[in-house]
Amino acid sequence: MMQIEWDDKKCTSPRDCRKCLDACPEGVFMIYPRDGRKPGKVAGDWAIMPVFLTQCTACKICEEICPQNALAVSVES
Amino acid sequence: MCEFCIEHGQGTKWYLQTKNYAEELLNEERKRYITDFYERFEEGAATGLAALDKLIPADLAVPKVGRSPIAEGGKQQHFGQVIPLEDVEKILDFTTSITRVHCVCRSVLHGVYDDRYCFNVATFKSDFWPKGVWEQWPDYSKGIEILTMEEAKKEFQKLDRNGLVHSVWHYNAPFIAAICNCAPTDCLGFRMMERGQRPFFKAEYVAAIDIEQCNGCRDCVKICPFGAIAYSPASQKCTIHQLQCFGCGLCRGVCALDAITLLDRNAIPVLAKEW
Repeated sequence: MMQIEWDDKKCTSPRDCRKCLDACPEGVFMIYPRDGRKPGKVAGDWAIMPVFLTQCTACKICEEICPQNALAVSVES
Repeated sequence: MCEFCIEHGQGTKWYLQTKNYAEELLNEERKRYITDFYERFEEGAATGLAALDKLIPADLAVPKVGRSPIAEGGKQQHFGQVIPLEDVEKILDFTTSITRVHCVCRSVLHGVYDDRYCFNVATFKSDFWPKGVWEQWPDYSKGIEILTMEEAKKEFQKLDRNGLVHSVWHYNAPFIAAICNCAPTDCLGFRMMERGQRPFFKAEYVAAIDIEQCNGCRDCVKICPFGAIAYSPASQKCTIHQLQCFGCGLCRGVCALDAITLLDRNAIPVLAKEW
């Protein structure tokens, strides 16, 4: 399986940038609310994370497109 | 008949039985389940699929179509079945409350919140379902929309033409409360299927092409979400692989020559065991 190192601090909100999410040909990324969902509250603090790693082919399109250099793809031997 | 038809449908289609939509089924336990399901949807999507990844090392080189195994573990909690447009319309005829809400799978996978592909259906008026559930979270609830039966039917016809597979879903068997409209790239159910755990049954039908009528235009090939239809340059006709067909009927909808019909899966010996 491939590994994607991802720096949550560098990653901006998916409302501003979602290039990796849209560019990944295999749909490896998903978005999630950092604080979870709470009744009566808008889940505001969204982030993107690589989840579906078995689908990753290590093409590195996400690494190249990320404006924050928040992603690093590596092949696990 | 699929397992649910035998268990919850007295040998007929379980999703056409009004008793499986009854208000009495919406007990405290189910209410808790539904609330929890949506409250922890993102978490569940991430941890659930990650767990599947660990269990079944998916070999990307293996074709991901055909006889995928049923996710046995999910059958009682949240499970579905593919249904064609005419059966959607039969459900809309007897349900009295139709609410279109945004799709939680698409929000997780694409960050899209305004696409309302999910239809919550009920045969009763309730403060809890679906309005009460969605209103707990303001970002979920802003997209809810109440439709009349006629409006809903029109929307489903559009979705059908756009290549979206319809399916009914229960929240703790047999309580049915939603009809989904899915595309392989946008659906967590399909993601599970790619990992060898399919959370929905195939339809009670299977598609068949009248080869005399087919002119080889390939519109059906393009729309099939299951990769079940192929074009033969030799015969200049399209053929449907029956074991890969889920019986959704989308191909029939786009065939300009009306060459495709849906057959009863249960009348075909091998396919009658193929869910």
